[in-house]
Amino acid sequence: MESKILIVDDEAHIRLLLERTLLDFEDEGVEILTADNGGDALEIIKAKKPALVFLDIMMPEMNGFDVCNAVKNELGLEDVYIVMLTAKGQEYDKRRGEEVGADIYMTKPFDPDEIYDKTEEVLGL
Amino acid sequence: VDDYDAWPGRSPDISYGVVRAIVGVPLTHSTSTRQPGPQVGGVIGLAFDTESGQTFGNEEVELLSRFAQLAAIALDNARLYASAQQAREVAEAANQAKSDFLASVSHELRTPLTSVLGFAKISQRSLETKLLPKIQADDPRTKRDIRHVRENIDIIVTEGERLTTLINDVLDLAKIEAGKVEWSMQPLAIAEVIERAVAATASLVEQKDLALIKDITTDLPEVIGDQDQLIQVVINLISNAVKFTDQGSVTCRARQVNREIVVSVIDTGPGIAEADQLKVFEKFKQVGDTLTGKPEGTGLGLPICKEIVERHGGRIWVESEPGQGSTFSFTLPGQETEVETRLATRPVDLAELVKQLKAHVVNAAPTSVDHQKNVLVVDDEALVRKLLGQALGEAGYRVREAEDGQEALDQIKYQKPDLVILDVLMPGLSGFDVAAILKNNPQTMDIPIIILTIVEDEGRGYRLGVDRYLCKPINTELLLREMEGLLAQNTTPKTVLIVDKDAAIVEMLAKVLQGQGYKVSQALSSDTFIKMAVSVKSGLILVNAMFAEQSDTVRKLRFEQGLENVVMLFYQ
Repeated sequence: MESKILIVDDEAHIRLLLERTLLDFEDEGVEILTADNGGDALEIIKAKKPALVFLDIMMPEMNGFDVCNAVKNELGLEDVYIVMLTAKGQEYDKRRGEEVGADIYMTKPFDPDEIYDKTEEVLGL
Repeated sequence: VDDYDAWPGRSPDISYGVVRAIVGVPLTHSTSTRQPGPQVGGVIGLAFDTESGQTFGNEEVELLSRFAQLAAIALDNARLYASAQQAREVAEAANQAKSDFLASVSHELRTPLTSVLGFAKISQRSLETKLLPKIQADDPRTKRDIRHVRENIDIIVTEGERLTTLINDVLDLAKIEAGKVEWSMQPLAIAEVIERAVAATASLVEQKDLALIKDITTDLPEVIGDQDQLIQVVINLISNAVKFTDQGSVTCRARQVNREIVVSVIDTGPGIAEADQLKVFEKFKQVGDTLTGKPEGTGLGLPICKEIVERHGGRIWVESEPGQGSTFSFTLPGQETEVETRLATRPVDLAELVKQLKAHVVNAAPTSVDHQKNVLVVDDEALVRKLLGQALGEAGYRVREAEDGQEALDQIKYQKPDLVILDVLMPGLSGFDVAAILKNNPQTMDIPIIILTIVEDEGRGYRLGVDRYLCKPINTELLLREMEGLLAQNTTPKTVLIVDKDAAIVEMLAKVLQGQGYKVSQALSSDTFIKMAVSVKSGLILVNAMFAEQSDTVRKLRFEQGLENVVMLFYQ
């Protein structure tokens, strides 16, 4: 299994939560990558081409929308499945997410089970 | 002072011998925020010069005193208006700050909450699927410990989810109150709204083994509304019903009543005491017996429903008797939305119409008022209450005061006043809320209400059925005149005949006028118009101007049927 998953959030605990949620997949050989800011995330996506990215929106400097826009529209990496994670339940965010080409949008607090199911679905496991 | 130069109080700078006589009158006002009682805010005066040689007599002094009085009232009003304006600006700014604060707090709360809830859930999962199966639990203590850990994590998850709902609700309510919600109003079928709400709450209902009954009349007209928001309202009502009902059923009913659609959620739960029925729509006011189990929830579900329903031009209320279950109902304007669209192209100026009507009624009913009438003054500003208390007291009314909407309702329950003067912007229940409650209760709907406010929304006031809508600054003379008119009119209801081909418009006008205490008859065609006009003998006839133009009826009535003395008002 060659799949890679990237977790992007500036909050260490949220990264840890996602990592632990996805532990089963790591046991099966999926590589779990993490980044705590938008810039690093973009570099990792360019270099490693993960199949799935969990992307926080509210991050200092480069936010999730910018990362998503760069990946989907500038780099043309449309196959990278991007799940936007946001603390805001605002309609505006949802629209903005659609504009920059995010695949789906989950509101914090998210349910680990949903993350798990989504991962299974995207990786085709 | 007849001889200015000999007056010890004269100004040392004026010593040219030009002033012969002076007179000065104090401007006394009563709205100082610092000291109670009348204050001298200034002096107006006149002088005769030595050349004229004249002095002031009693008449001039009296005239000047009258001017001083008028000037003082004007100053009072200006001061009051300025302070009310300021209070409103402060309130608006505070409200905006509150909404912004809530939005960012809710955002900041989500991050730690994600960790709390998320880690609890993954711990729960690995406990159930990985750890527990490996533990050989034979001794009772280990069994108990396992049960406790399981329960503890369940509690963290449940409470975390409750906290999430609370944060979402607070944010929703703040957004609605701050006017930041984008409403996507579209024609929709209420049946579908109910279907989807029922589907969303199906699992909830199953958990408690209740029957969920749908009772929807076919052929309900479409309503204009925001589908998602209305689904939310029905979901909230069903979840509440399920939460409080342990056995029996929850019924979701939709009916057309007159031009409105009434949606009701009926449960067989414990019911709500009458005293608590209004409270359930207030924020964070959960009612019920805290000893026998505090209801779970945020205390914001119903206030959100209320905001959403009112935003759609509807009303929400509960009917219940302890032990007999509760029925929560809300209305949506059905075909009336059609009226509104038509009104948009052909607006009837309600405020203007009511003003004209009332002018005629006041003329027609000369004032013979028993001055010992009870008036309830409702205003959160002590100054305004005091000012009105004084003015009305002097005019011979018995005045009682309430400083907010709830207090007003309590007082009215205790002793029914002859008339209510109502401010709009107050903490808690607004004046509009109070007016709606009073005008919807058969026991209080006949109490005349005068809205006295800085909020310029006459249309809303009249739609709620208030009798007069006056704006601050307070014009005491006008207020007294209106009060006399209303109190006189109240004893002799006036008949109005409305004539228009457009049934919807007639219906709407009738509703407004009935709210104002008029007896209304309607005519949709020339023939009925003539018949009604002759038989009902209305003092007043309201005629659509287009209708009047197109038909000869008006002229016929006036000159052939001897109705020259009837007042006819035309509207566009």
